[in-house]
Amino acid sequence: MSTENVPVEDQKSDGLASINPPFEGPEKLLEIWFEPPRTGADSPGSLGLRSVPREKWEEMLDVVRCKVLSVIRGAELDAYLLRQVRPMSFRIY
Amino acid sequence: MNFHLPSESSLFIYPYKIILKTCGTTLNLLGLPQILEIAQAECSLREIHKCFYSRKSFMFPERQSGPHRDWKEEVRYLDDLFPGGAAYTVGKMNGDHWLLWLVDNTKRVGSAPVSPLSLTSAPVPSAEIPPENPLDYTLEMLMSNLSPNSQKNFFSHPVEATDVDAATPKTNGATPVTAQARALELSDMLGISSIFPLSLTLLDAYTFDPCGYSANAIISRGYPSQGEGYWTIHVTPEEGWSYASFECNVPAPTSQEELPHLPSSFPDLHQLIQRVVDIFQPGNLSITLFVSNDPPTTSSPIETAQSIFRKALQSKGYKRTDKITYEFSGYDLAFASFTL
Repeated sequence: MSTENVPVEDQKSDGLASINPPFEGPEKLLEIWFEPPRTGADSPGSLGLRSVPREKWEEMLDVVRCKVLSVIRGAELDAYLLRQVRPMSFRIY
Repeated sequence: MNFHLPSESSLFIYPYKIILKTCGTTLNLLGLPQILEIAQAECSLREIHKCFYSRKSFMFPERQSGPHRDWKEEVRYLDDLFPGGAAYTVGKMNGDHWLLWLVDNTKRVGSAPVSPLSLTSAPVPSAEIPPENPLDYTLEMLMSNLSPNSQKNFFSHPVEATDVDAATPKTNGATPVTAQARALELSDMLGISSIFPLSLTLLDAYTFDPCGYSANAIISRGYPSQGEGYWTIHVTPEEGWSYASFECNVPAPTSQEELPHLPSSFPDLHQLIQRVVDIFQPGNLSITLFVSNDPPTTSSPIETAQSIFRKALQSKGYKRTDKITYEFSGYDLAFASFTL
């Protein structure tokens, strides 16, 4: 996969005048809390969403237009660093 | 041609909680239906307990696409997924403001069936122990107009004599080793690594070419009642739209006396704010502190926090231009803006 590379078309579409087009630093922040299972299945060491294979999250991140750069794992959470990717040949309106 | 393709974003996954923070023109909210689908398919998690979506006002709203073109569209998108949410604009409508949408179903009595997932209704009472909810705490510092001195720290030195062209593949993953090593070195140099005690910090950082910086840190428990937490930093250093954000869900004590057994380098709120501001030296910043207040206490930590924000920043030469306090059901919010 080479989606991390900027397609040539995209560079052109941004115009030569904007070698560095303005970049939106301010983030969108989404936080979702799921109700833990109530049926006793929630043992203290339950991994819950942390057990989901990374590929599943990557599929979700494709839609968001992000790619995983790296991940660190703690005792209670996993932290992924991401980067934005530009759409190759589609735009969602 | 140096084509800037930065974009610094983060994803945090807890057993029953997900935080997705993305900048640029990412389509953050379009990930939400898929997160719900994954949770249901992979973990049989069908009920949403709470959901929050927030952002600062965009600098370049016209560059956004999908539901992010307009706050009203974002709210409509969320309302369609989760009925019963509430949307707020905090701060100046015609200046810097902060937008928040939230649904907290632990507070709801009665049911609100939605498709494809159902929202939790009233909490299930536990016969044995009165539920004591752990503190939910999120501090954000949204900083713009970084000082030129701070900006230059986040530009990479030219890598080689040849131009770095983002369109030229550098083979998959060939650069991350150096980008990460460089980022860790920079984090140490700027004091980012030691915002919280080094002994409690697991750090992951990345620098982008030609500029930009991202870091995630996992902070292990400083005291028994505190869970493991994170902080995350993202920096866009370019003049004209320079911006840095710091977000942290590790509760910072309001004074050092409060938790005397913490390592001495563990920051209280006053020190934490000063450490972050010293690194980025922003011309303007907004601070939000979102803290659970459940069950409600008479002494909300929010007013104390507001006063700490002001004191911490006043001594650095900042003037407060906005101070807003919100009390939601189950949560308190402090919002304040400062300018040099």
